Amino acid sequence: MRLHSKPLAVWGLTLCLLLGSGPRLAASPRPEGKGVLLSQVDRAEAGGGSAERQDLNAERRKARSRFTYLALGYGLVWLALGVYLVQLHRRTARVAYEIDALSRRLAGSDQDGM
Amino acid sequence: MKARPPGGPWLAIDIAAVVSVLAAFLLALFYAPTERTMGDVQRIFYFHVPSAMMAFLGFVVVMVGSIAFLATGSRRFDSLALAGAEVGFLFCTITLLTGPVWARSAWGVWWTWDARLSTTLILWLLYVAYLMLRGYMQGDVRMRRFSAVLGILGALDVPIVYFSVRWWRTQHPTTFITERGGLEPEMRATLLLAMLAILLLFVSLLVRRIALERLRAGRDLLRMEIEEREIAPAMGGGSDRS
Repeated sequence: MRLHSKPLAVWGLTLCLLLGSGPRLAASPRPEGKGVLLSQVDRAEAGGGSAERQDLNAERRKARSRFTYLALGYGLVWLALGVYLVQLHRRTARVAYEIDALSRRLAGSDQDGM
Repeated sequence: MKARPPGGPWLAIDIAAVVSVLAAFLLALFYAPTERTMGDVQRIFYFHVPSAMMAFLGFVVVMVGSIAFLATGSRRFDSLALAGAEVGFLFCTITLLTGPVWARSAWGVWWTWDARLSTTLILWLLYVAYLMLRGYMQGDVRMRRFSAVLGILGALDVPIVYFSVRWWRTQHPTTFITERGGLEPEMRATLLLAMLAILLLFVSLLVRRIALERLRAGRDLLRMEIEEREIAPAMGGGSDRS
């Protein structure tokens, strides 16, 4: 059954790439604050004030949490699309199989009639 | 009868949909700037909003197909309505999955009985009712008429969902506010590309789903033909005996 194999292969490949080895994302803060934050990291690692370190950790936790939700959101999008595509392909393949079987049966009955 | 997938321009739409969805995904992650208050989680918006639009479009297709079916009785329009409902249901599901993920981060709750959220859930339930009706009464002519009426009535929920943020007090955002108000140009460009990508995906899936219905119609014709051939000799034999 070679029905719809090309576009589905393209879809499948795309989904595999995105789900399996998708782009690595960094939980980066907003671009305009990046330099400040990086310098804060340096200072914190070099033994900066504890309040500063706490703020930084809180900011990092927040960014990580937001990134987790983002990953969850996009994961659900790809999952829903993937499940639907697989299901659509299976249904199409099943109907195509039935058509092939019925066509053979019809051709067989034609030969019997002759 | 040969089972053939829709080719030619439809294959081009499939490819364009894959490429543009991938491009929109990358732009949403790497090109669009990070929103000031919500941070990275706002990037869900680039797929959430177009999915909601396609959920609306799905019911518009259902309504158009249903009206045309009731007017002409053609199975082609019935197939269009069914395909619109199924693809619309998919995008409505995506909207309802991505929305709570954003809400959990932005509002601190997964779900709230807000006007926009509630009316969207009703839209999803209408899709479920429509598809269940189709599933339970397969092949029945009356079912096609009932489901066409349900499809037309269900489409009435679309403007209610859309205008719910204006008609009632709601938490759901209408626009994403930046320092200058409205969307940043990079955000707008990403959103427009995502809209186009999801629209292409919608068309691509709709065409595939209509093709499946066409295959099913062909299969039903073959079955009828075989049944006629098998029943006709038996009937003929019976009449000879009598």
